[in-house]
Amino acid sequence: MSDCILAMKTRTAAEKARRAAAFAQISAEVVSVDPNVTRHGCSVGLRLNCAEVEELTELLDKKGIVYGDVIGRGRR
Amino acid sequence: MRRTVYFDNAATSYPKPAAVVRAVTEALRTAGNPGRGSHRLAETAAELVYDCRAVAAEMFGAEPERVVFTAGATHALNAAVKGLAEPGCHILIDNYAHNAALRPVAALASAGLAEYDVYDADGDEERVLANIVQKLRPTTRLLIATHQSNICSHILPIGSIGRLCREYGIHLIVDAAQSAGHLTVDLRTMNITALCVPGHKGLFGPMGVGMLISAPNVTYKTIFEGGAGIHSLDAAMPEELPERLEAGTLPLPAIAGLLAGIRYVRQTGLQEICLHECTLTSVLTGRLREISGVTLYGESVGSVVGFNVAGYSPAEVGAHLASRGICVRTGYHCAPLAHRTVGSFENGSVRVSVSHLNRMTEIDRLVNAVHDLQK
Repeated sequence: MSDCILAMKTRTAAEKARRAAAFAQISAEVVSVDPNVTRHGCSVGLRLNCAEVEELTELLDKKGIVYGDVIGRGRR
Repeated sequence: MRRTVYFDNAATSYPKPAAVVRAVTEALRTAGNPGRGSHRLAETAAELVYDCRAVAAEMFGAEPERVVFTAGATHALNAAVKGLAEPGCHILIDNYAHNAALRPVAALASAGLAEYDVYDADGDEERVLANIVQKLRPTTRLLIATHQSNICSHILPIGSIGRLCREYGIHLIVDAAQSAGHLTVDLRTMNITALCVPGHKGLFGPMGVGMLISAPNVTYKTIFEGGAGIHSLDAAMPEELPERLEAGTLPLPAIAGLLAGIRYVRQTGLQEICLHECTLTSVLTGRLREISGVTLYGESVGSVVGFNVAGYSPAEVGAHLASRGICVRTGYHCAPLAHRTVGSFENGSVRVSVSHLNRMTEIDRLVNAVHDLQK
């Protein structure tokens, strides 16, 4: 099962998105993103199963929660 | 020794609920720095911070990310006034304003960055709105409204003022220092742009935390800058709230206590709180009126009663009450405009501020002590 990281603009937005995901039965966790990945330094993202990224982004769109790119992949 | 009677809840609520004390202690024992790492202790702290934002947002009709933690209501008012004012703009402020609101406005004016006028918020809703309209200028951008006075129980019609502000495209900044936890406050229905709330008064949290709660799409200039836990390579603060206005480490133990305090208020119920406080102050007012030489100021049924006793300064009355184990506040209460408004500017007044934890027997003790002054 491969994991994706969805970039979030702030820690608060990431936590809001994580809770929205949990409510929709999507398992996601807030993680620090490697500062080298972004141009802005320390950043946060949501790590979740890549298969659920589309479902999550649709949910975030509906709720007006702003997110960034899928910025990383890895193994759980 | 007789139990202390605490009637200084407008300064800070006391006693704090046991759940608040427990939450502060627990946070000191178990939590790390919120938003500054992804280890377990930091995550626990960050989740607690978000819980508090979410609960506050629900209580005040906002979204969690629009809840900015500040050092208190004074900090929140400074952030709102200075963050929203545009150079050369005109600001309106009510004649019950506390110095926490007045001084940031006056500071902008003395720096030549803004002009301001004081509007008369006395009288009925229609009159207050007419007074505001009369003072509007094409450059008016901010209107500040004290939801409830801190020297008496005068309440401004925030919902109607909010509708007026929306009609004229003006930001409404509400000082809810004496109303949060006592009265219903809702950003959405009252058209409030920025709500400034202390944590340690009606919400029963500890000192050291307050909130600036904002409507959607409101952007602020920052009044101070620093680490925000994200975008650390950028020289500028992040654009997004709440991080934009939260430079430096958040006061996690205070936030934990505030969360417990808000939950306590919500469990108790605002209606229950308000009804009990109004009953206490209604009885107090009636009985003080029966004492010869007592003058009451402004509205007195709510949570705050202001009075003086002929032949005694407010400080002398306060000292007499303190000698009987009764805690009140005397003087100007950092609200000179309000004292001018209600007619107590010459010497200030004695302020009795109740919470729903006060009992009618405590009102009896206060009234008896005031009676004794006249013997």
